[in-house]
Amino acid sequence: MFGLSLEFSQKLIDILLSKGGNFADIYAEEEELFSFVVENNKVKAIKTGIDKGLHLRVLKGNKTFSAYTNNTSELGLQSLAQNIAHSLNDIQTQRSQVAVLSDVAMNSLQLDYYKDTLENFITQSKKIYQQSPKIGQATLSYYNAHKSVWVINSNGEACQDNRIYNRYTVNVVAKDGDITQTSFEGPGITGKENIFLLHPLQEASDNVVARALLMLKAKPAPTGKMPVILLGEAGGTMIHEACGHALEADFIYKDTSIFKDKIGTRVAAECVTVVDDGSIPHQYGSYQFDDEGVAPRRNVLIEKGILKNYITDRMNADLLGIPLSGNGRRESYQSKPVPRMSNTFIEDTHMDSARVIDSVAQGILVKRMGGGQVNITNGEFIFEISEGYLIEKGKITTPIRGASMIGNGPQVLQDIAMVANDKKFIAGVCGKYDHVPVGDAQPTLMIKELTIGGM
Amino acid sequence: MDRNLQDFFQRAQVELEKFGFENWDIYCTQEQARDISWRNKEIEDFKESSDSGYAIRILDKQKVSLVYANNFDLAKITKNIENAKFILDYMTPDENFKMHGKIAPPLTQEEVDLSFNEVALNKKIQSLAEFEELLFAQHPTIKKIEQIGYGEVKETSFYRTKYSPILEEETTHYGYSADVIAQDGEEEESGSDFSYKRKFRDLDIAALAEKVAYNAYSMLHSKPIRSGYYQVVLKNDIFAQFLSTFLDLFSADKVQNNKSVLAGKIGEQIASSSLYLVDDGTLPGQLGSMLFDGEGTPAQRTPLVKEGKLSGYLYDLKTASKDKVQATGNALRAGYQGSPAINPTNIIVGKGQSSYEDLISAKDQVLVINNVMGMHTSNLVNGDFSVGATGYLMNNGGLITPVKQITIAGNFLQLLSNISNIASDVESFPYHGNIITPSVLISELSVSGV
Repeated sequence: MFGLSLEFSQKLIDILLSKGGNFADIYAEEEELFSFVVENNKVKAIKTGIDKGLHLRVLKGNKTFSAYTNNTSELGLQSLAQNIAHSLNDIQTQRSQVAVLSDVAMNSLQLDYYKDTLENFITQSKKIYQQSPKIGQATLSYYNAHKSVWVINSNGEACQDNRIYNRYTVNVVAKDGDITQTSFEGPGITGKENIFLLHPLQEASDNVVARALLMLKAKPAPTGKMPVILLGEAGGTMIHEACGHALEADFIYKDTSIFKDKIGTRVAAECVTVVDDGSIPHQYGSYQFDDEGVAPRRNVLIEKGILKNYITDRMNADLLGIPLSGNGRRESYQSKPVPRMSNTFIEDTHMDSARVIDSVAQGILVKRMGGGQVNITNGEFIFEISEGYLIEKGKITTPIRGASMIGNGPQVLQDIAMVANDKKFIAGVCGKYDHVPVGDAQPTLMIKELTIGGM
Repeated sequence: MDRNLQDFFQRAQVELEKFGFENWDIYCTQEQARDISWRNKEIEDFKESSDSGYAIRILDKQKVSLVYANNFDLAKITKNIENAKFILDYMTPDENFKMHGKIAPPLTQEEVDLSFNEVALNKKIQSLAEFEELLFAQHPTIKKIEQIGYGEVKETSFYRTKYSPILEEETTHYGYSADVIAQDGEEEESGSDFSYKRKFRDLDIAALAEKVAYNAYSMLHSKPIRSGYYQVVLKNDIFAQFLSTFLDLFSADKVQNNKSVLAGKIGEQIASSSLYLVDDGTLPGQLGSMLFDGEGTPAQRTPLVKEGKLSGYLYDLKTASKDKVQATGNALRAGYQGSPAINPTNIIVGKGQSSYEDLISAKDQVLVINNVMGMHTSNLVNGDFSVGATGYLMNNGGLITPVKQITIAGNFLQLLSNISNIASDVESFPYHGNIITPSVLISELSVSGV
């Protein structure tokens, strides 16, 4: 990695552990990224950067001693490692085991490759404005990053992961008199696939425009408690925010989660199985190894309503005496890894979505969710409904606007009455401390009762 | 400048000159930092960093492009400059894009405190142990310490355009922070504060411990008060937070894009005639001071409000070109990845004759505000705010009760107009801009409580 020899990496780990600590690792990363924003049919910004850096870390119980730098000279790294060791200042020392690591060079960005993409986006932007005079503003963005990550640790483990991220967003503001509606799509993938074949730009734009225009005609939402249908295409933001975070092992260790000491107990309705899986090909939250060198796997968090597992990084798995799940993630070499979700979803059942939708005579149907907020200590959440409809006498009728869903994560898990078989992943960015790409999904489901709030 | 950096500047210049651009600039920063958090008589988290990076901008045919990197490998520098050239074709032209030609190198800077390297790490760690003891010793109700931290940063920035020499400036800052909990029976209140200085020796942990503890124990048994209009003292820290939040109103960029209520109001009365507001990046020893900004413009003094009348805006080169005025040295960079953007340096509020005690002893009831929450929810275009607050209700100088769970609401410009007295208890607060201000008395502010 960066021409650092394996011998030198070994030496650094020995220095790191020379004054105490029970684990040490080196995380190295190189990243090249390109992104642009098209607004009002013009290129508003283009960003490109070439970054690299290293993060050295020693763990001692629940304490972290670390350093990061982009200065990869041997002298500079040794002095940083010595400062870390010095701050530990223990007597016991430990030697690392020997690791093996292959050195693979970083891909270089070829900007010519993006020429067509940029021009397509400008053309698409013009098409969006032509669809209706009510389109006030269209903003389209594209993001591509190549990231290589190396991890080597004092257990003698070493690995490398090359990650390619592709994402684009389409954002439209529609106006009619005093009413303003915004609408958004943001598909994202990992790997070498062409994002525009998997998620055509035209299709995403059509959806965004149709939704923004439709919502202009929407009526204010009714308020109060009522049954809610969340469609599969609504995405799994709720499961990520209102359930997933509370299953992260650092919150369990710090005793700020409602799910502490609940393994083996019923925390959800029997139809609910919740999984986190960073090994699914192409999904935005996927990787070969996490940022501590642990391979991700299908980690069943809740199985048929019973709490089975937490989401862990090395430090908290060790502190709690539970298995590694491959969820030690960080934004960059500047941050330390913490337990974070990858692709989180409610698993499909065998039920047809039509049966779930038909189960409600009076209530709300949510086709798309917006942003939200959750308090992980008590599970209280609020989410905007960006596309929703009234269900009246068993029929889907008027679109509603300005509505939000208010509830309690653990309560909602109990109140899910039916789950279908049509889960669909949506790309997102999780903002716990810093930012990492994630995926989330859920099939169409019926929640017996949720509070719908208006504006 | 170290050898690697010299190589970088040389390589970048050679590569950039191949293309014959009208102008270009290079901004480069090297930063070393340490953060230690302390809990229960030991280090909880230790983090050290040594980071650097650069941004190159090209100006040609009224277009500007920017690329950044922290990878100084020579091949990557070449690649990045090619990228900058590629991007340039796609950018939207604007005749007001400007870069400096020749820049006179600034006068030698003041002494830099090198305690970052010269004071031993052990001594700094030891000071955290002392700080912890001091906090507990302040008051019998201080039962828990949530967090104690020490941080230090040493940063060197470099800047040049195609036609200028390389400008260089080194800065440091050092600071402590703490967050404690005071308990009395069932009652629990938290209090926190921090102190940052350019020089390590200017830090006073005893004074900070006193403030942190006071912020917690003085709030014990606090309660909401009746809704209504109150005469209010905004403690210097709180007035600093208000100014910091709304300073964008003075940004020429916001003014030119119709995102500021101050647009077109030069010369108009916008505040009480006792208010003077100046942006000054040249003040010795202050956290917001600098020799030159992120576009190489030398720091300067810019009056913003004089006797309550609006007297100026903050400019970068582009907005200055549009208004046909001089840039004010306020194009600041947030790290090496970002474009320069208009931001305050040091903001100085002219101090008054009265003491803080005079302010809180003003006739009849006075509500002293010592904490606000949710300032970021304010309307940054028109100045409206509605924020959570805590404080003390006073009557003729005597404490009636500490106050919590209230909301104060109003408009920033109205607040400035309602200033009825200004104290002399000047302190500096490194928020968005380093705000150097005394406490102020506001004749009337809307409070909602019970």
